[in-house]
Amino acid sequence: MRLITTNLTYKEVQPRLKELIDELFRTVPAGVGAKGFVKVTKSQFKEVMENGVKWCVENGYGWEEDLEAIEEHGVIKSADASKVSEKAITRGINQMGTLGSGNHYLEVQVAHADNIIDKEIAKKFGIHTPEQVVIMVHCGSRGFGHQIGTDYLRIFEEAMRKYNIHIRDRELACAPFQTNEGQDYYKAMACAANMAFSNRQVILHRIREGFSKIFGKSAEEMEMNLVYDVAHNIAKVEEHKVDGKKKKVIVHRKGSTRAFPPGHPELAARFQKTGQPVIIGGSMETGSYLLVGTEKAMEDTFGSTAHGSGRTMSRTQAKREVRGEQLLKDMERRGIYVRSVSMPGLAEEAGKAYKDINDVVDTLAEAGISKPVCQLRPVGNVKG
Amino acid sequence: MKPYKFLPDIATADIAFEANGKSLEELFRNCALATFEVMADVKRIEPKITKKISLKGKSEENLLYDFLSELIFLKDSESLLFNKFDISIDKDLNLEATAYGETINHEKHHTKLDVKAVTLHMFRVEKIKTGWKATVILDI
Repeated sequence: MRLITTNLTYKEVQPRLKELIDELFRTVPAGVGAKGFVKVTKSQFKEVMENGVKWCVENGYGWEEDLEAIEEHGVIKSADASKVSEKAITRGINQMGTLGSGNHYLEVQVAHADNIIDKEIAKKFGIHTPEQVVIMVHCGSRGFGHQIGTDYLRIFEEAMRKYNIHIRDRELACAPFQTNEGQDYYKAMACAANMAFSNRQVILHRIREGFSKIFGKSAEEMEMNLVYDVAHNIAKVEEHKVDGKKKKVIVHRKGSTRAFPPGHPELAARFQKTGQPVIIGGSMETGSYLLVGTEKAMEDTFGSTAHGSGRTMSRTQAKREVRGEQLLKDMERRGIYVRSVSMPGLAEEAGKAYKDINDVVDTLAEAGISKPVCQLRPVGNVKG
Repeated sequence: MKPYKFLPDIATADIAFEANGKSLEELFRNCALATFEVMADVKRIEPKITKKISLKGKSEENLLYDFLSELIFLKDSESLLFNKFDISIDKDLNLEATAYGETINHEKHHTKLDVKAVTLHMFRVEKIKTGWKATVILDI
């Protein structure tokens, strides 16, 4: 998940919104089996796996300062491409710069003045003008990461027999961390995370190009800065207090997001006073939130918080209740312009299929594991 | 008996289905069809390209997981959708299959959701009175 600012207001963007969304729909491929615009050789793809966003920036897909606004500065160093199968490479090599489908999206949003909850922190994160336009991107490592998952699920099934591990759900296959199987997976998973950071980075590049084309200004002029980029599905070695003592632990964040507090050594200098920006995606109808990490999250949840509003209705049920074409028209009437590869896919993402994002954010605030900064309302959306 | 049916109440964010077959081959074919039905309107796929798949399974479940994973792999690596499958499985669980399909075209195939992986959550292949039954949850 990543969030990007602009210094444009809704008033400036609105007249050309359709053109903008159409342009992004064209340049950021989405949907089943989409191929990305970044063509890489196998050896370059290995560099992406091991060097992540650093590779992107070195190859012209982004700015040096983007790096410090990404979890792990866009590179998880434990990545080792030799632990990734040829199959995963073949599956992922064409997917750099693709959005995917399901709940993945690219959204143009507005920070309305009355939706700013913490003015001071919002300003520090680059949200400073009433009705300011921002962009949110939700996508991951695409088929590449899933192929790594599929490959290692097989390996772990064997490993569980070998290490005599019994589990209730076979999808939660595991291996002890300090074994060959455990270490190999950890290194391969880091490659998937680096590919995900890179996928979102090259998409950011396309967004900057798209805005420049439509508004006739450079991305620098429009202050198209990266607010932050966080992973949703990842396991990481971190230091946390357990029973009063500092310990190295593996934190699995599946469907959750890191939410580090002010002063955490992993955060870049510009977040030392504020804490880490946290992005929580809601449905495409109701909007999303920008929050900030807290000390309480370190104490209670291993520096973690929720990652999205979460579904409340199954995909099949949503499709029964909502028609994509109708939803598209209804949303346009409400000022949200959507382009989607698939009408049934769109219906499944209807606002009513999701929990109320405000309830989710209120719960997080009450639990103290992250602090709301501002709500972001959708005005344009690209979907797979 | 329906070849396959989707189960709306099993997985909220993913897609679950149950498939049947008189033989193991028919079960595998129906599972493959259900998987591509999630991604596109399978009736619109023409059998222009064929792909051969050979696999060896340790169990029926293990073989079905690998077979579906292989089809999902081909969908991404070669941008293909399939809707016809000739499958033979011998008693030692050696699978030989030919999948028929064509290159993905969003407009033509009315593409829907991308299937990213087969999960092992509740994954089951069982022998029933009338043949075989499988329960599968696909990661979306």
